[in-house]
Order: sequence, then structure tokens, then C-alpha cells
Amino acid sequence: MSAVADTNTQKAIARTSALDVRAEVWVPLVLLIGALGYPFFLLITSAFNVGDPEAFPARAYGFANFIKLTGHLDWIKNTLIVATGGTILGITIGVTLAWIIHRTTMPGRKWFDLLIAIPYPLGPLVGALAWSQLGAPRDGLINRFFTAVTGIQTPLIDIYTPLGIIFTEAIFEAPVAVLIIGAAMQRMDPALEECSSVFGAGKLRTAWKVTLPLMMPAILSAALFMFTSMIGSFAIPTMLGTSSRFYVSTNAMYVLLQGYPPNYPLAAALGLVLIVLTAIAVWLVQRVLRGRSYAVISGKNYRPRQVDMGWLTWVLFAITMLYVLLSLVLPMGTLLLASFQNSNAINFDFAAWTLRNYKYVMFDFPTTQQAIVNSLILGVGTGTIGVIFATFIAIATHRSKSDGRRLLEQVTMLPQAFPRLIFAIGFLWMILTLPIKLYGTLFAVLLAYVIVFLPLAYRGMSGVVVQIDKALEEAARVSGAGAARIARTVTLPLLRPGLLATWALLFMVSVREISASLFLSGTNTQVLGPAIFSFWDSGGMPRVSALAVVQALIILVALTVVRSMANRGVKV
Amino acid sequence: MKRRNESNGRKGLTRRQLMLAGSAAAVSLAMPHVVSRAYAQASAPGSVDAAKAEGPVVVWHGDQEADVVEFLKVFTEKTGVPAVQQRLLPGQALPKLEAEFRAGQTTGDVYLTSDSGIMENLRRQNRLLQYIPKEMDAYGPEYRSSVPGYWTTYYVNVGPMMYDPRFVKDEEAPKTWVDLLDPKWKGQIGFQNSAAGTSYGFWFVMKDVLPKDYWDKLGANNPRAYSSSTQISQDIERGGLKIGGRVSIFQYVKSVRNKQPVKAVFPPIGVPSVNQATGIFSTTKRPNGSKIFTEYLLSKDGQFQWNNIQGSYSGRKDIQIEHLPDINTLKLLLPVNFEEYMKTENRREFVAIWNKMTGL
Repeated sequence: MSAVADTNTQKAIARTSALDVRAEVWVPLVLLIGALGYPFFLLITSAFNVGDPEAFPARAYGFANFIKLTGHLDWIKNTLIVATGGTILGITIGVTLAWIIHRTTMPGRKWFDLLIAIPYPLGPLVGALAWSQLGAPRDGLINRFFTAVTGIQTPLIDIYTPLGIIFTEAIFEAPVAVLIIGAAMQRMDPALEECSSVFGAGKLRTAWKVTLPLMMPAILSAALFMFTSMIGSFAIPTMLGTSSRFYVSTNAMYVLLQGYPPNYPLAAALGLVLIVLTAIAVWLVQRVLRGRSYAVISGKNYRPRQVDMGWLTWVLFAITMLYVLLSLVLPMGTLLLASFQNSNAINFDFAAWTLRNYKYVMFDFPTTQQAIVNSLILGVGTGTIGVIFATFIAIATHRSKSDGRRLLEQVTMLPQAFPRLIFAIGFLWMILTLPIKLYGTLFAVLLAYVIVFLPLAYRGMSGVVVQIDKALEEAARVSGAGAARIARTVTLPLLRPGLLATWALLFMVSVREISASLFLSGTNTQVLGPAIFSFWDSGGMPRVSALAVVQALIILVALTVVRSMANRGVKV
Repeated sequence: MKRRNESNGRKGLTRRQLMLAGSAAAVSLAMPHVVSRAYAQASAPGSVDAAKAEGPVVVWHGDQEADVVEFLKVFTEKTGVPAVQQRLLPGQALPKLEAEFRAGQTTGDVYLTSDSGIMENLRRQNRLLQYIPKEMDAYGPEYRSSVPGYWTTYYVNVGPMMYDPRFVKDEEAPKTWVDLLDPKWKGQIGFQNSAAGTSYGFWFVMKDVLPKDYWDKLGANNPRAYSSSTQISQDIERGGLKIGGRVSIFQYVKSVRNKQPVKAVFPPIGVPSVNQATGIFSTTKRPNGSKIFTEYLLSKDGQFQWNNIQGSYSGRKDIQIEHLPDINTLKLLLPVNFEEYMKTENRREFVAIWNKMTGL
């Protein structure tokens, strides 16, 4: 007996001490480590480089760059202010709108669902451009209107302030929260809400006490995404902050990298600090979610009921309209107005309006056509590859029993922590040293997009996968279905809304991408983001506004096509 | 011994001296041919047919993209050689170039930059191809590399102050660089950021002209940093910025063409100016197209076309552009000491000062 007991004890010890290594976790892990390793290596060596700042790899190491960074703590403080403020405001908008669209009977929900989605693909670049003309203290349209109506000369708003930046970030990132939280809301079992009603809770109390907590994984996913996005946000702080001496990490980094000689070490040190901040955010989210069950999809019901809010419906309608007005109607209207102008100031003298800016950007400016085609190719490519890869990883991290699951999740989320500007530099160096010729090709840009947007894809799919009760697949297995059949008949149909939503999301973020593309797009691989940014930098407001309107129309068409395709199955 | 002494005392040439003299004579006779051969190689024009076969010339630049696109259109119409452009400021272009040189894969052919110090550095690293266009003599020595044909000034970027009299009264506007220190301009002066070659040029030529503490005092006025002169100009026109601390002259011309009532101020102490330089990368895959581009850009017609499109001064004396003040009435302050201008230490000092001044 004693010998048997010893053997069992030894087996138990062996089981607990041996690594459980499974392919579904370790294959993507190794691939990701390979793709991220070298750029990350360059980032780290550069951050500790105290010798020649342009040397890659560094030859002398030390902490001087981090010490120097202590003289610029305002960059980090401002980054945190913008990211935290923007996330809070963005999530508030996102949760409210997702609930209104998906869980109430407000009229026009289908149209609002589309209208709310548009600001995100239009992107922060377009948003900053438009709001710089709407909210400029001296000649912004809102302030001009305010002065004309009230006679008060003091500006009503100033978009070139931290609050202005937070506001612009939030309204243009909020659609992501609506998408992520909305996808979860659509798949929610209403039984718990019904219980709440049975026990006498009102509609708002039920929404607050039941619906909201059940949505926590999706809300936290969205919040994490927004926070890390805003930490690495480039266009809005650059366009609204730099000229008013408000520096966050990214616009500071841009100047450090743009100048000659570029200060890679300080920029890299700053990048490492951002990575640490993001890692803390990821850890916090995991800590909140750990040990709790958020399974809200079961085999019983997949269609949550919509709530009739009575007279409050019109309040909700007004809230939704206000968002659409601030994020879509006013910005696009302003860009449209600016695109007809002859000079940088908007005037309402119709006789002086012109269409020549459109002629220029559509016919005379060769970069535009190439940029449009390339951006569409990249959007489709990133969406497809990104969704497949992210789904695989999400299933592996949530379902596999393999060791290294948490590591895989951390590594998957790592690109979100990379400021894209600096990642692009590291990535550029990596592809230049590869034995295969990737440099200067669209495929290299695609690869970079897939990597930098993988966290977004993963968060989108993760929020869906975590909600699917494993009992459904187990039931199929018990009934004799094989793995392939389970995937085809159970898992994929359940994942489909998430798959389509994530694909659409990846498509949109790729089309509007700018920071990574600034360094990776080349003469024959022009894409829209850098093309617009360059035009903003040196082309004047009327032309860049015309280009932004053209881009918006393309995105609108693409979005409509994507939605109509998706609507054959499930709404995106 | 005697014989040796006799020998030493001879006044005629030894065999060794004779051979040396002969060799020297041979070399001196051959030198013009060697030099002229090198010159001939450097000035051998590009073939249009070969250029078309090479594909579009890739022009890297930091200029106004729309202007470059318009010029390339003219260039292709005139020469039949296609060309494409990519806008890259020095901080983007040089790391990319460095990486490309190391990897042996280069995508750019011709480089146009506001920082002739960078260009001179590239020349010394043997990264520029020597090509001497036919009209090289139209450019003074201050507008080209010391050994001609490596880089040449394709326009002179003069940088006055600028304001809009709708928002700043003429009598209140600054007249000298020191006037910018007046606290009334606090938060209302705009410069390009430290990434701009023109900002470095401004600092470099003014640092020995202005008081040592000028930059600290200017910094106390919280000047704002912009990434381009276009943005400074449009903010001035919109009333969001009162004074352009140093604005490229072509912005003034563009504003005048657009009937904007802006004014440029050229302080009597001098106006900072930089050579905007063009050169061909030694690794160019399109040498014929690159030579034809350079030939045209620096020709009289090319210079008129480019400077007329942009609204800037040519380095040539035979080009006049409407709305530009007579360059002969201006005291231009150009960087001339290239040893100092190129120094990385000077650039680092500038970046530190400029970033501090603009709140970075």
C-alpha cells in the first residue's frame, strides 16, 4: 500500500511540476514572439542606449534616457490625463448608445446603428481636422455662431486644450465601445433581467444593476482598448495639441523622431514607459475579471428583449441625435464647407466657393488614387487575416488547458502597448534584415497592420468567446459530433456576430490607420492616412478638407457594402 | 671616394631624378585627360530612352507636396520622363535612407532637402552621385557643393516674420528679431518645430548675430511649434496666431496670390535663409532619369517653373518671380561655414534649445 501511495504521490508531483505544452497555445505564441521580438529588442536596446543615438543595435548601455525622461514627466502625465478622461467619456457614450440601440425600442435604431458606426472609420485624423475648424477659439464655426447670436466675444469653446482633445478622442473612439458592447448585448440571455423585473425593479434599475454588470467583460474589453488606443493616439494630440504646446507622449515622440538627428533613445524610453502603463491596465482588467463567471449565452435563448422606455424614449432619441450631430453631422458639414473655400478661413460667400479642390484631389493629385486602392486592399487583408488569427488565439486562451495561456494573451496584447510610430521603426529595421524581400511592398504594411491591430481583434473575439457557454459544445460532443462538426455547427454560428463585427472593425481601423503607415508606406505603397496627414501638414485646409470628404465617401460606401453583406446573415 | 665626390659634385640630373621628372611630366600631361574624363563622366547627360526604361524617378522631398506634384507634372510633360514623389522630413528620410543603404536596397533616387548640411554630410559619405548639369555655372559657389555636381541649391528659402494686418496693426508689428521678446506676443509667436531644417538654419545663422540669452528670453514668450510653414501661415490668416516668427517666403507669396492681406517683415540685421539642396543618391536605380530630373530642375526653365509654382527665390540671378521682394534689397544670412553647420553637436544643441523654447 505504501509503495502504491508513493507512486501516486510521485505521479501527482510530476503532473503538477511538468509543463502542459499544447500546440493551440504555443504555436501562435512562438509566431507572435518571433514577429514582435526583433522590433521589441530594438526598442529595448535603444531605450538603454547611452552611446551614439543612431546606432542599431546600441553599443553602450545605461539609464541616462530614463533619467532624462524624468525632466519630461508632463508628457506622461498628459498622456494619462487624455487616456483616462477620454476612456471614461468614451465608455459612458458607448454603453449608453449600445444600450439605446440594442436594448430599447427607440425609433430609428437601425439608422442610428449605422450613423453611430461611421465616425470611427472616419477616424481621429478627420475628427481633429474638422474640430479644429469647429472649435478654434477665434474663428471656429461654433464660436462664430455663438458670437453672432449672443454678441459675446469670449469663445464658447477652445478645442486646442486638454479637454478639447479628450472630447475629440472620446467621440471618435466611442463607436468601438458601441460595437464591442453592442455585440455582447445582442447575445445576452434576458432571463436575469426578467427575474429583476419580476422582483419589482424598474427598467433603469434593472439596466444599472443587472444589464451593466453582465456586460462587464465587454465594457472592460472596450475600456482597455480605448485606454491603450488613446495612450498611443497620434493624430488628435498632434493636430490639436502641438501648436498649443500641449504634448502627450506621441506628439512628443513624433518630434523626437522627425528631427535630425532623431532622438531614438529618448523616444524608445518613452515607448517602454507606455508599455509598462499598458501592461498595468491589462493586469488590472484581468484582475477584475478573474474568478468570475460572465457566461450570459446559454442554450435557452439568444434574443434579448427590447425595453419600451415610455416618455424617456424621446430623451434617449435626443441623446443619440446629439452624438450623431457632434461626431458626424457637424464635422462632415464643416469639412464640406471648408472644401469649397479658396482660402484657409471659412466664409459663407457662395459666389467665392469653388470645386477646384475636389478636381485637384481626385484628378490632379496622383497619390490619392493609389492611396485609396492600397487602403482598401489593406483593409480587406487585415480584416480577414486578423480575424482568423484572433479567433484562434481567443479560443486558445479561454478554452485550452495548456500552460502559457496567460502569456499568450499578454503577448497578443503587447502590440497595443507599442506606440505605433516607434513600432514602425523597429518593424522597418526587421523587414530590412529578413532574407526575403518584404521592404517596399504592400505585404510588409499588411503584416504590420495585422500585428498592430491584433489586440483589437483579440479583444473583439475574446469578449464573444468568453460569453459562450462551453456546455453547448459539450452537448454536441456528447451527441457524437466530431471537432470539425462542432466548430462548423456550434462554435462558428455562435461566433459569427463577433467575427463579422471584428472583421468590420479591422477593416475600418486599417483604412484610417496613420501612425505606423507614416514610416512604412513608401512611394508605391501610399495609403490614405499619411496622404491626408501630409496634405494637412503642407497642403492647406481647403484641399485637405476635400480629400477628407472623398475619404469619408469611400469609407461610407465600403461600410455600406460590408453591412449589406453582413446583413445577409447577422447584423454587424 | 673621389669618384663618388665627383659624382656628387655633378650638376646634371641623376638617373633617378630623370625618371621622377619624366614620370611627373607624364602625369601632368595625362592629368587634364584624367580630370576631363572624370568631368565628362560627371556631366554625361542621361538618356531619355534609358530613363523611360528605368521607370519613374523617385523624388524624396520635404516641400509642399502639392507644389512638387505640380512640378513633376511639368517635368514629365517637358522631358517625357515619369516621376513620382514622397514627402519625407529629414527625421523620416535619413533613418530610412540609412536602413536602405545598409540593406543595399534603396527606393529614392533624388533627394530635395532644406538642410544642405545633411546633403554635404551625404556627399562626404560617398552617398551622392556627382552630376554636373549644363547650366551649373549659373549658380554661385554659395549655392552648390564645394566640388560641383553633388548638391546644388534649387531654391533659396528666405524666412521673414509674417503677420496679418487684420489682426495686428502695422505700427504694433515687430520690426526686428528682438521685438519678438516683447511680452505682448506671449503665446502668439509661431515657429516650425525642431524637425524642420529651416528652423535649424534659422538658429544657426542667428545664434552669432543675436544676444546669447535671446533664445531663453524668446522661450519665456511661449512660442508655439508647428510642423510646417503652411500651418503657421493658415493660422495667421485665421487669426489664431499673431506672428509667424520665421515663415518660409513662399507662404507669403501664396497668401498674396490668394488675396490675403498678409505682410512680411525683413529685419535690417538680416533675414535667415537656407539653401534648399538637390542631389542624386549614389545608389540610384534610375541614374538616367535622375540626371534628366536634375538637369531640368536646375535649368532656367525648370527654375522658373519650380519657383513660380512655389513662390520662392531661385539661386540663379536670371529668374524673377512675381510678388517676391527684390532679393538684392535683402540682407540674406545663409549658412556658409559647413564644417560647423554639419556638426552633430551643433544640431543636438539646437534641438535641445528649440524643444525647450517651444515647450517640448
